[in-house]
Amino acid sequence: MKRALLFAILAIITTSARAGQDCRSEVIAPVAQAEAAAQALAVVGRLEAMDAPVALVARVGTDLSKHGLRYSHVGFVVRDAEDGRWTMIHLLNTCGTDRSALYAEGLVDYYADARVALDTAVVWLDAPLAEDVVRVLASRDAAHLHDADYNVIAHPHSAQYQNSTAWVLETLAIAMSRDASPDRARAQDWAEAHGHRPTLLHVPYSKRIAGGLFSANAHFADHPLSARLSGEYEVVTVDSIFDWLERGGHVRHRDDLQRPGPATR
Amino acid sequence: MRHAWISVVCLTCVAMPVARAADPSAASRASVQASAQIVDGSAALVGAGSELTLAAVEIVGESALLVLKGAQGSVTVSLKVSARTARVLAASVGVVVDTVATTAGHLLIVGGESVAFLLNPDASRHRHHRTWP
Repeated sequence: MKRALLFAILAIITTSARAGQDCRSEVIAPVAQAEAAAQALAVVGRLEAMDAPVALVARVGTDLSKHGLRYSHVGFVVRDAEDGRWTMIHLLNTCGTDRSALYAEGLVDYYADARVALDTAVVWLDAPLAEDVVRVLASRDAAHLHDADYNVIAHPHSAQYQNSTAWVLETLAIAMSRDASPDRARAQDWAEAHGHRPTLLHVPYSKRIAGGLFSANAHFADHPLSARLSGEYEVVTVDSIFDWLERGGHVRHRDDLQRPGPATR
Repeated sequence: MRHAWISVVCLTCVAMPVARAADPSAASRASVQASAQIVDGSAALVGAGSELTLAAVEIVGESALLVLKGAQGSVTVSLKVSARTARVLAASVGVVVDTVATTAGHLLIVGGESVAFLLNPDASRHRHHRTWP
């Protein structure tokens, strides 16, 4: 009986370890792909109607409704980049591991990975900031800000880890500050000093324990002891970025495009 | 011992949703494949209201080719699809394939089921993916 129990525990641990490495190519259902592509073209239509070289585009890749959040992911969409008319530049976690990479992709691909819903938000920046963001992206300063050590719940001042929203925030901060030498810590400090306030996410103790043991991309030790005791974690979110831009007067226009229909998973 | 088993079961329950519960950002895990791509023949053959017949299904490894034939029989178009889709369609050779136009392309329908989606040229321009910079 003891041996059976041991095998059961080992099987669970083995399965959980593999879960973080699942990187199989997935084929999207035809109707879901049609919906995702239609949403991509709708966003292209909005982008074409605005005379701007860059915008922020948020999507719903994860259900964060229990935290009172709608959008889970955001990136920059750039006009006439080398890959196409409109190209998303954003950070993606690599197959559930503790690594990430930056990607350039078309909007059809971007919405093909909208796993929960196709709703989206497009935020256009004021003209000076838009120019600065384009400069930071073109000069590759934004790429220098990337840290491939991924933590889905990275602290806003983490020196070791980064997630997709943190990379966007740090890129915006470097663009706004016009800092000539991109540095993550300086970008983080600048964002905080100029009014960025992270979102406070509550993660129950049971999930933290399991997350620490079984998820390759969740490192709760990135946060101070007080946060780990209370379960209240400061995280950069789409909402915290958009609120910060709005309060700073940097939002030229915002569109929320709701789209009923199947998500891609 | 009963308590030990309950602990194992509960551990599994807690472990599964944890990453999503705290996930503030995307965690893209896989390259996302289109459900179909034209690899040969006339794209113009696939349009709303086209009269098409599934002429052949060829499975090669993890992907497969569907060959669709126009009403006249002389014009064909070959589509690359997943082997899974092809296996479902293997018994449907000779049946009619309906096409339904959408904003961004055409859905191919066999026996009332959507089996593939083909992007139109407008949407295809926005389909690319690479690491950056």
